[in-house]
Amino acid sequence: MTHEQYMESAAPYALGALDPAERATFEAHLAGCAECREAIAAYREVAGALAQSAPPVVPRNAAALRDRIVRNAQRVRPIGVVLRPSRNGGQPRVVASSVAGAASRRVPWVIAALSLAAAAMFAFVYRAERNRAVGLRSELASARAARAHDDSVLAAFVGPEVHVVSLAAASEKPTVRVFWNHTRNTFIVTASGLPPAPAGKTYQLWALRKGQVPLPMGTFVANPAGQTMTTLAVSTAINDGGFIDDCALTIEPIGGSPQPTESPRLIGSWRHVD
Amino acid sequence: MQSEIIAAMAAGDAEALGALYDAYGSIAYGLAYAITGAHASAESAVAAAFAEAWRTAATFDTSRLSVLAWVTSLVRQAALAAVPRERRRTDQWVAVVPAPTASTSVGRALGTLTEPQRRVLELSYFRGLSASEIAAHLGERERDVRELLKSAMNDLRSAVSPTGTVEERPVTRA
Repeated sequence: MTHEQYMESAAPYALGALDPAERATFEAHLAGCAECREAIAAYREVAGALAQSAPPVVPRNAAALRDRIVRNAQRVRPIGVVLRPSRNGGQPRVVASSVAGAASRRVPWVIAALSLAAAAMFAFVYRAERNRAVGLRSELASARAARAHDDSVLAAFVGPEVHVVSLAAASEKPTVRVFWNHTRNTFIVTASGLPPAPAGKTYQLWALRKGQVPLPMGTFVANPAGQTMTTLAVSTAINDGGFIDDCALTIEPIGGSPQPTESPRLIGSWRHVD
Repeated sequence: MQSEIIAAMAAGDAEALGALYDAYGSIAYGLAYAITGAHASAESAVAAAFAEAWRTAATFDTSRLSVLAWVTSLVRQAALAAVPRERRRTDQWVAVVPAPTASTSVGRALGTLTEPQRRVLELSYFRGLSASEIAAHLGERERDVRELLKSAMNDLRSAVSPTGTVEERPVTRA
């Protein structure tokens, strides 16, 4: 195919209107053709302008949608963001492998065509300040909530009614401890040096009483550093059976098993906290 | 200013994504609604598009493409993905077809297109159909559809002058 014939495909390509086979052929040509790449860029700008022809529709709840977008982002690290130590040896800082700071050679008419651009600039500054304030407030709120949670966890584990079990293997690591407040029927598992469970698997704890089948005590996962502090969802039936003799740890399919599917990785006996 | 927002996003500043939404959220929502025709799908598409913008901000080069073109292409992709292709091919599904309007420069530019040009452009941009699908849909030859798409895009490209104003052109073309 000649370059002129390829150029015929530039507009449909920019609109995504080529069938897969032709798209692949065109992209192969594109890799070595600056003129076609330039044409594509211009057509993509036209497509961007076309988006503005859609009739304005007011979202049902624009603020909620914005929150959802920002909150989702807070849970995902963008591509290319890496932590590097700062030059003066202080705290690591977030850096990006982006060239976005380079001077803009954007197609000029697009900027002008956007009647919102000038107004938006002013709004950006205002909103950035407002958002910073909102962000600080929500950080403070979550810090308070985290502290309240820690306090209630602590309260559950101070007192004579608390038992603890340390689960150990022959080697030193990992360390798993389970705390049991039997008047509150609360179990908390803490761990360090625990390797991540295999894909599709999770850790599960079992309550063992002599002469009885193991009772499931709930599942948990560890963070990448092998640590956890997890409040277990444990059925009240466990408390009703009186003192638990031992506690065992297995690896089970996600969601947990009604009965262990393997022999215990770790096992330990309960004792009172003194 | 916009490249600073993208740079801040690439550096992991989630509030910069909020600023991007403040700037383009309403265009994004209008587009997503035009394609999906439903609020729930439009919301999901906009959220998915901004999530993708967040994820890939570091790889986006503001010197090559405008932020508007980038964001709207992500929204269009996400919104089209929410409507099954079979449904987009049929007439039972009615896209919210934008009428050319004199209130925006692109609306005025659309007004300079012929009816067949507008029709194929709409089937392509808002329904995401390929040239061959559009040809089948309209009962036209594919090469004619491609010619219409190309001329429509070229006309739009030149209808908006470098200063961003629409050139004075006759509304009906020869």
